Amino acid sequence: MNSDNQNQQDQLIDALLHEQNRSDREQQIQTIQDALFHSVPAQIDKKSRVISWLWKIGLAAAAVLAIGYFQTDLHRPNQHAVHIPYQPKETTPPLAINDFPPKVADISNKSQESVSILGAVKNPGKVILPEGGLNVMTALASVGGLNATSDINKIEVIFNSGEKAVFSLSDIMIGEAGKIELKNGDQVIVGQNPFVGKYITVGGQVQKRGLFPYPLDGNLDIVAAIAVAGGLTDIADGKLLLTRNGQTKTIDYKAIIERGEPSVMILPGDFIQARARSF
Amino acid sequence: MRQENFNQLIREHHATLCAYVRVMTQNPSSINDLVQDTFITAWQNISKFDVTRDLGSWLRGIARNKWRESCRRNGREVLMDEAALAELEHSLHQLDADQPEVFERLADCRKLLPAALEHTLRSCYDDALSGREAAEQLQINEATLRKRLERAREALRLCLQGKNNNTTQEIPS
Repeated sequence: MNSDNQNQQDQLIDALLHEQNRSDREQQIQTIQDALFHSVPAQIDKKSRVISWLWKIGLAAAAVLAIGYFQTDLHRPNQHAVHIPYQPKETTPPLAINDFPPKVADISNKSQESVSILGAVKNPGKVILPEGGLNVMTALASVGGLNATSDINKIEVIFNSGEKAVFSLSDIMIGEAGKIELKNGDQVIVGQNPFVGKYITVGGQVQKRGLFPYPLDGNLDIVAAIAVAGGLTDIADGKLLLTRNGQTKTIDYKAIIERGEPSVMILPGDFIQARARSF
Repeated sequence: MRQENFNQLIREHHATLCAYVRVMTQNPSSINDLVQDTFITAWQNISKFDVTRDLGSWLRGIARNKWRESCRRNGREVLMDEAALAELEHSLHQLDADQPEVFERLADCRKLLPAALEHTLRSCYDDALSGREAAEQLQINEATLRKRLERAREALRLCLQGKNNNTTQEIPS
């Protein structure tokens, strides 16, 4: 037997010894089986849950808007309507929750004046100004509300006069901003969440390796990132390699967890590699 | 092939494939990913598998291609050239390390080792202690630990080849 062959056989023995009583064997097999046979249903389940929640939120928002709408005079017959000839084809049935998304702007359309609702909303486009006027909250509701990728802190109103103002969704839903009346030519632009479609990568000695979506609130530290990846494996040495913009630095994860040292914030595109123990 | 049958194959071949990938890549952190990719590719192409061939050999072929592809994509040099990979395959056959049963044989061979060598293996491999930790636990210095590991591996190699597999005395302590 030549020395190369013997060396390789020694390496094989070493590898077999490593694999013989590997404590995470079952986990790894389960991971592979999940990737092969359960990943698609899991994604569907997750998607279904998200859709289900979006529907619940949407219906709740529609209900709130509908209550607000019926408390105003907008839905009541115009006292001067007797002077307007009866036009059955233009009559719109009363707004109901089932009609979601409500096209509020269409119900008493007598004007071609319009405002534009653009950006991360469900049905962006022009909304005809009704005679009773249109405020920001109703305008957003009339295009179906915000979509899942919206930035709830960046709803910009650009007035025809050139003035601009940026509001959050809570300013509009709870505060006074929702009551701002829009005029012809005004624009409402809902910004897109800057973290949509952003990912981090976690590899090495973690339970679940792969790409993970960056949280939409933009707040992720290295401890949370490792938790998302299922935690470290038994053979991880507690040191993490964080690669950002081509530069790698070592993070002492154990020190953060066990000694309460400051954590490290993770940015979109970061790559975290958990090191294995070596001996 | 049914899902349950393939699950069984994963279970049978996981450890041997991991061992092979460990030697081929010389990089423990890439084992899990590469082995997972290999099984996924195998499942996707299971209809192309020639049932008269050895499944382990087919899986290793997939793993080799995946590794080459990964090295090419990441601009890394493939550590083992074709000759070395062929040699590795030869070494596998010599030790019968391509068969799932190799771990049972390895366990039997370990039982034949002198206690000192077996304790060394247990500390370093089963308990996954670092060299320093294992040396401390065994109350020996690290040089002695390395020497014991060398001797234990040598003894196991001979045992798996069918030599020195009957008597403890023949294995140097």
